Amino acid sequence: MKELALKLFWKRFKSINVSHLVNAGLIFIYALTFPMITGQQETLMELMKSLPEGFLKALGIDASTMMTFESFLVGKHIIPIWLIILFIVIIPSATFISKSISNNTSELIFAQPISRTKSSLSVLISAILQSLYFTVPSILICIVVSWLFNIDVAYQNYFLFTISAIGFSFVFTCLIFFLDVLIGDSGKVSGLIIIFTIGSYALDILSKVISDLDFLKYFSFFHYFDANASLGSGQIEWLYIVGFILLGTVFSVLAVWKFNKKNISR
Amino acid sequence: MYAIELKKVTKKFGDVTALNSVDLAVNKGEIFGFLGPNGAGKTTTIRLLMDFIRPTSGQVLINGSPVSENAEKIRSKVGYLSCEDTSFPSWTGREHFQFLQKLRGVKSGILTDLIKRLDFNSRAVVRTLSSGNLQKLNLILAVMFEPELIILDEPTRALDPLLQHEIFNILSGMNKKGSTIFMSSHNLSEVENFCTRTGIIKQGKLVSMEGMKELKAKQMFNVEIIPDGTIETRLFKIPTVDSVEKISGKIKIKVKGDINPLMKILAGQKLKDISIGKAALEEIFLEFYK
Repeated sequence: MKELALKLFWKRFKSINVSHLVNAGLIFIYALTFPMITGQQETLMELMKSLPEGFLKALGIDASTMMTFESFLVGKHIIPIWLIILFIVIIPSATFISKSISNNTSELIFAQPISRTKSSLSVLISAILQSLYFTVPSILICIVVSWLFNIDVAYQNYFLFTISAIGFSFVFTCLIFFLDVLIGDSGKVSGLIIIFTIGSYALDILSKVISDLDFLKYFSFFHYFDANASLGSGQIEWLYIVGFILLGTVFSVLAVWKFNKKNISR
Repeated sequence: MYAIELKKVTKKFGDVTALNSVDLAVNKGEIFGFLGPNGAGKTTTIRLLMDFIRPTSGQVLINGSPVSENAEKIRSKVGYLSCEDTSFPSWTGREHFQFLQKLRGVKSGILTDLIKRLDFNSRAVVRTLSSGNLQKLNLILAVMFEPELIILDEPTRALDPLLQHEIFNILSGMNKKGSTIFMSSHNLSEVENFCTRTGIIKQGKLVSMEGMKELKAKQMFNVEIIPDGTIETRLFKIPTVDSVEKISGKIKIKVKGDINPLMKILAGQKLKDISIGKAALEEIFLEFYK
């Protein structure tokens, strides 16, 4: 089981490192532009006053946004660029089963003396490891870049955001894995995740812009994975983290159960 | 206890019945050929044996145990070759060997010998390999742990005659050491030369279980001769000759079963040319298993 999980992890190690390079490059650019933004803080504050409040809320921008590098990162990078990179990392790893069935490599793996439960768990564990290998270092690099550019670091915010991001990537990895086992088509699963993400984003914006539609925020994952609260303001809702873990566990159990009954060959 | 046993196995894919109440038993130590034209249900049967797919009804047993319940233990004694390439394109052959050895927690004692005998370059990345070399890799992966039961789906696909011969030598050696071999094919002559017993499947139904003697009696040959002079076609009126056709100086003779009586007749004739072709399995099926 360990061997399979590690082999699948190493198989994607290089491509995740490329994601790290892209992420680090962008953080460098933000760190370079951040002093210019703070230098023009007063002008920006005046500009913000002239914009509709709902619009600023929808984008997660307020006066404090431009004051810290963490808040600046939330507005510029975490949503949506970091999130997109995270999905690019998670989707191929969590959809390994359907891809291996379509390219027939599943027959090499599942012909070995390893039960369906163990083999599916190995794939899931490898996908979780891959998401962790992206999530944690991609946040740590922000701290390293801050040191390099002498930017103040709110360590607690980074810590809370890391917890939140781990919970979020865990539940998404398990969800994608479950959908992959259920649907058996990585293309369709990717499409569903894109629709789900865009839908969540739209619901989140609607709930912020129109006060009567505030209840919609509960149907958007951005409400539960609130980078603005954790990284920007150092606040975290621990109940949501527990929810991520529980939901992820439910998806995993369902996926393994379904995989045990599934045809694993074309 | 049988090495392989299928009890009233039916497999449906939606409305399509791929296998229909198949009963099959393979003894330990046998070399069993599983014959059938394309789409007959050979690969479906093999995938059921490997527990890649589950039967709609019936039971699939290996060494007396249901394959879906005891997968880990059963597969530790099974080597499998798919009818399609199952290797990872970005890995080398060596990476595949190392991966399987780690996964199984055992070292192959015959790997070096297999690589040498099949003249396989284990350092090349799989995506650069020809179809013949890919088949060599898949075969090595199937037999490198000297399994008790070897399940092969079209093993000689993409291999030249010399390599086919070497593969059958390797498999014969393993059979002598006690391995049971279950092999599917649509090539009658390779089954005839290598197997001890055959099962014949057609449209999802097992139509016959035959020994090699019975199977050989069902060989069909298409003989074409160009006589040097005239030959009376009545000469060919013997029990094994099914039909004789004269077309613009050529004589086409269709033989069912033993070809030797016809060869004896032809040996006494003056010929300009002769060609002998074995009938395709589909043709034989149409003739014998209507």
